[in-house]
Amino acid sequence: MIVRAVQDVFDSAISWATFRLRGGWPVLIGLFLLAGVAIIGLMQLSLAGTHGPNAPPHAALYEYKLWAWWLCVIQSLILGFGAFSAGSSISRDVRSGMMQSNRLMPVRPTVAVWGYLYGAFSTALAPALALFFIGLVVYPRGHHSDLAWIFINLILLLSTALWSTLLALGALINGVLYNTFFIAIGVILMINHSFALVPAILLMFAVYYHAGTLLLAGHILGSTLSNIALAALPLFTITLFAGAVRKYRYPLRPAFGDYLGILLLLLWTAANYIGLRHRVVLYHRVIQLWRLFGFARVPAARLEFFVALATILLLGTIPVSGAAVLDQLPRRLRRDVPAPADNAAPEKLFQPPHAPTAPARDTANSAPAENRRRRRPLGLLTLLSALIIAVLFCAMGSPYKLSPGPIVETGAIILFAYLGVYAVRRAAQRTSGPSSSIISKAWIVTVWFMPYVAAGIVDACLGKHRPMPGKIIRDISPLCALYYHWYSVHLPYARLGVAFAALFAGLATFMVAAAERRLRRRAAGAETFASPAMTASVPENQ
Amino acid sequence: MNTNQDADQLDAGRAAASGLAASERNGAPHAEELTAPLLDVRNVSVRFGNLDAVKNASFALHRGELMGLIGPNGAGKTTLLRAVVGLQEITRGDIHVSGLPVGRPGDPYCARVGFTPDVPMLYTKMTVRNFLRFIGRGYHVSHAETERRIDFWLEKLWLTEKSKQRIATLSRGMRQRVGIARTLLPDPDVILLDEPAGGLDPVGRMHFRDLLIYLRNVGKSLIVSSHILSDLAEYCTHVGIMSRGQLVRFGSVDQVAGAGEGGRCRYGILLAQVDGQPRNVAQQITGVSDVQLARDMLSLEYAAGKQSAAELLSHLIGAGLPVAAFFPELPNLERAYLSSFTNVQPGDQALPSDIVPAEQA
Repeated sequence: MIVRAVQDVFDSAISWATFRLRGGWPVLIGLFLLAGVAIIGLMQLSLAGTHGPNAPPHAALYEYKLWAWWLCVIQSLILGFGAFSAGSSISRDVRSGMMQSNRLMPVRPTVAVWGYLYGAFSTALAPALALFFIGLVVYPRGHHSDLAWIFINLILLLSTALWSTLLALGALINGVLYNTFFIAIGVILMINHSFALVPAILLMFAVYYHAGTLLLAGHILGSTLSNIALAALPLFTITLFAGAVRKYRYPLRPAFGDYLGILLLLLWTAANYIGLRHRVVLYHRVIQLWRLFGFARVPAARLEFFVALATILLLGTIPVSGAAVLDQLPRRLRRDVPAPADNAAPEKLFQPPHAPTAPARDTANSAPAENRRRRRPLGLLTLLSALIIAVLFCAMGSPYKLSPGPIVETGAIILFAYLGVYAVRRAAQRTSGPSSSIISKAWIVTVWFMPYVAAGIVDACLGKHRPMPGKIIRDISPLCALYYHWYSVHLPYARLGVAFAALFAGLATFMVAAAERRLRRRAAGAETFASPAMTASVPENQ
Repeated sequence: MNTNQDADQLDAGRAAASGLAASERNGAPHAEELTAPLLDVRNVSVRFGNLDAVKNASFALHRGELMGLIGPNGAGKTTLLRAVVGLQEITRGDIHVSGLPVGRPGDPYCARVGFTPDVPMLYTKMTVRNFLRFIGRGYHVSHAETERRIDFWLEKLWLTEKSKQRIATLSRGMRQRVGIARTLLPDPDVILLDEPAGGLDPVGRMHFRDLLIYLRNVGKSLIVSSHILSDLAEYCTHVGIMSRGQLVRFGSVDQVAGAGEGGRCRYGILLAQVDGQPRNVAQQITGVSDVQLARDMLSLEYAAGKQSAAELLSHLIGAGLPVAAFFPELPNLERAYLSSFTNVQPGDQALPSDIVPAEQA
């Protein structure tokens, strides 16, 4: 049975098809041979001058040491290409409609998503394998350990798994041009070294430092932090993979619903927390790899803290939106209702928040078909999580003595901001269905970011001698309000930020109430004019 | 015919349909299997935002029943079909295929239902055979069995010569056939075809009609969404008419075709010679209406059913008409279809201009 399960995972129809579409065995063997011959050929050319009477001493050793670096770089590029192929194979199927055909097959969503990742990646695996074998010969000759090369490959594989899962998720959500988007983001990150401003990303980059120390010193330096970074990769990968599976299973629902979104948020918060705590150490380690590009200055602690807070705030909208959408879904198919035999399914054990509502849900399902709606206290749960995260983050920021005591204000601003997003998404879902995501994103852009732009324009027009109107406009944005709180400057205006956040949350809540009232009225009207003649009936002899 | 004989026949038919020898099929269907519906759709609603794409649709199909699903563009036909296979989440209701609830992708019901959309979903870079091999793998059919089924369906769909060609090089009609082969290869109990004859030439349509009749005869349940009503009247056992998301009529072809005209049927009578006033003579017969005469062909309406047809024939002969040939015309689905929209309020719904009448099809 286990063998069958493993066979299903590694030899699924989708991995087979994806592999075939990328050329199959001929391409795989061809790439293996091509990579091997090309690298060995180039290596022989570069080593040609290291022999003979005129060759400097240890020339071959230095050449092998250089090749050890080159192998690392080439391996990263090959695996990076593999990660992009996973995303592109999914976006191809989404665009052509084959994704729907594949959804019709009796293949479990987990196996299907894995099939896309594994099938597409297998093409890149061939040259990567060739390089791996070459590295096993080259490393000892450059006085490096074989184990170091094996470990470097493991690190690269783990980070590739994270990237390919992220791209696959992106392709499942958007379908089109996601690769380009991610390439653009990657380039921006590299150019502006803004990755160093986000503590969580700084932590992730530590794995490459990990690989570098293996290469330079032959052993791991600062292993605890590096190991934490290494452990974070699969944790994020698994969470993103779960999101991708969910999106494959329910294409019209958000990839990250309530609990999964909160899990992602918690992981991100934890990574930021660790990154922030060890920011100087991490920055200096990572910077060693990037010094060549001129990144040497450690950014200010408060700036890093604020960036982390902003990313957490933004990521927090995922579970909030997910909760709003799920709360608005009418009772769906029985797929969401466990059949008696399913009650003992292991995955149910990991959903404790469902447990208290289970009896109520069963009662609802035994009621007549009409008026049954799946009600879960998701909104409340998510908002509570947001509050907990806000308080936790305040605790995280306190060691930096950025501000005397803005915990309550921070919590209030985050809570109101989330409440606004929740209400807008809920209202949009009620009235416009699939386009609700666009409406809630427009809300975030308008309320969170636009005030900053508007304030800039106002400041430019009025000049710096009258800064007050610009600051008031900035306070409309929860991000700017938080910034003022944590910089403990202009506190009188900062309090205004809380008031603005509350005002917008109230406005959004009013929108929900209005939308629901309008729909109820419309539904009542429709029932009044419904013609009994239009109701389908099954003939008695059927 | 008793139930056991039915079961034997169905078993043999199903074996043939899956490309198998009858002896290799295990487990003949029980009596309950023959009486229980293969497809059971109850109170299904699908809502997109404020739009009710499908509203409270209910129907059931048994073995050997073929339902033609008709309605104007945007009536909800495709949404209903997608909901039946689980590609479209439903707002309310229940769907069962072969007794299994329709749910998430990968659930067991997936192996029991097949769906071909109007534009088939195919890996165009693959050859026809490789694509079907992929489908066989996806449905956990063994390699040898897949090869046998591929050969069977390629021959049945006139695709044998194209088996080694890449799908990208095939014409639209050929791709449509590959799409149908993809649906039939896993041997589903319930087959849904959305506008299947769209890309087919006249010969292809004939083959397709024969295929549908064959599938119906081997005990599959089918739904065919089409605008070509004359074709549907030929091979459907049941008809469903959809309008604005509602299944406004569902029943056997005779029931639906007769529903608009009080269970009446149109008969054609070829006269050996036209003497006197045959039109007036026919009008004298009780129960006859709408009599028309075109050269030597008399056409009239009378009660539907075998008994009524025999009764009418005896009346015509008794009245002294020289009947050379007598035949009831195919059920008039066009009239039934159009009559389904007579209650539509002006401005509510455009009349079904996309329906192809029999003479144009």
